[in-house]
Amino acid sequence: MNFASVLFDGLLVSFAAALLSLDRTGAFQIMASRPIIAAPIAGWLLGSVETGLMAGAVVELLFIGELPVGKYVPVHETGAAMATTAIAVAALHAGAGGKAILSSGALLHASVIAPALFVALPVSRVYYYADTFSRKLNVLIYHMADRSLRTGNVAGLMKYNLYGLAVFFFISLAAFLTTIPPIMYASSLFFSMKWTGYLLSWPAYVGLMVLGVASGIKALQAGKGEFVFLGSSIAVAIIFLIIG
Amino acid sequence: MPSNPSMFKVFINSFFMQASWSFEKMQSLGFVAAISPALREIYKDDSEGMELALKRHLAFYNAHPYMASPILGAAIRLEEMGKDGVCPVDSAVRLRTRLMAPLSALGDSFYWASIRPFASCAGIAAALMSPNAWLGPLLFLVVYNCFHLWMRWRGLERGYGLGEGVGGYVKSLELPRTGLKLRYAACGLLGLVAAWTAAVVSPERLSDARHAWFHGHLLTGFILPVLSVIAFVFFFLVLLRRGVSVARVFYVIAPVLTLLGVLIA
Repeated sequence: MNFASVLFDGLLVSFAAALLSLDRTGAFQIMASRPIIAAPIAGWLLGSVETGLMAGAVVELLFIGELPVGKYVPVHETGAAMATTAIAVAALHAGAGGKAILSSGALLHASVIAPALFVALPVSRVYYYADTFSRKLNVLIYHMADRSLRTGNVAGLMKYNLYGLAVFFFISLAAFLTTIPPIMYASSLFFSMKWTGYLLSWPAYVGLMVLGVASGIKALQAGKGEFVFLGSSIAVAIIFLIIG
Repeated sequence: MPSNPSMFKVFINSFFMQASWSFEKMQSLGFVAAISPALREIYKDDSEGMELALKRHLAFYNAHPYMASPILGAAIRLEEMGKDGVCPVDSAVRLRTRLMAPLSALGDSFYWASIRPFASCAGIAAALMSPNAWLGPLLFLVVYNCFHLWMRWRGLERGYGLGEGVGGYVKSLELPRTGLKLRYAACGLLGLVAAWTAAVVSPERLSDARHAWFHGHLLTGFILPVLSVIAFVFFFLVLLRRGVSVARVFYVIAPVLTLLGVLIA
């Protein structure tokens, strides 16, 4: 895993992350920025869609309750998901602490995700601050548009509006470029060491999934939703037992 | 009525309602940018009126982004009526200020709190269950955006048709009721996710991920995994409801489970 290829991968993911992050607030909001979409895209760019899908599922569930209501700026789920995938794939490509020799398939992909998220979560604070900073800068654009209107220039309002999009894009791009390539490189260096295989275990992924389910139920806030969950999980488990 | 091309431009512009979102002015610039194609047409032979209209609409505005569409439609209708002298010229701005909060509350609780989690759970369940896991994310996008794009398009249309009555129209959609049903359905889907997790929670099965259902001894191969997964879900749920953050729980369980994994191996 050489420096140049990790750097290239990191740049690629950073650009994709900055683009997808626009969908969070600035444009479209078709939810392509959600972890369940963004993580597989990062995985696909890095050559391991499966890791992305597995990371996307858990990160999506964990942050299902983070809602952009009013002034509240949520956790940067897009950045967290794509960073997790980037770290995880870098680890896999570096041999996953020697484990890649011992096992393969979903088991291996699962085991890198929890450690990756462990690191990606605090890193995603950077993206949160970048987002908040962009929103603070954007008020200047409002004033520019207001001034231009006062001088009778009515033509360019949409243009000013789109400047805001540029602010969101370039500031988040800067945040991603300064974090993703370095942590990918660190990950590939770290997990090329054989003892690091001990940090990878699939039970942590299972724990994440279970925590995600709980987080989902809590966020859904549906009266006696936990009983619906209980009934459904038992019913489905019985169905799996019968058809299995 | 403004021409179809103008209304279509308003529709497209509405997707950029939050492009210049700021803490102080929020969607103000986004709204006026969105409505400007229609205003341009309404005031096409009255440039002073156009300028006044744009300045009017630069006032503070913030609402759920998809709910901008019914409000835009109604505002366009009222601007037309204002120009024709049927109602005061500032009716449109007053209406949007009045509708901002209630429509936002409906939009937030329906789109962010109900339909988005529901689509997420559906997507995740589909990804876990189907042979082509990418069908999950695809299902998520399709389910979510059916509801999303419907509101953007139909909202704009109905907003223009009803003018002041658009608030009543949105209320008549009974979004909270549908939202609650979707949230219960999502809880059910999470039950599926939990059952799937219980079915694969063992090394041999996980390595054969997708179609490894329960087998082996009934007690250890089925009852124990299912009950443990459900028990842990409830345990975490209690913790989360007590106010412990998701991140904190994760940081505690991750090392514990990693150690467990090392011991098992």
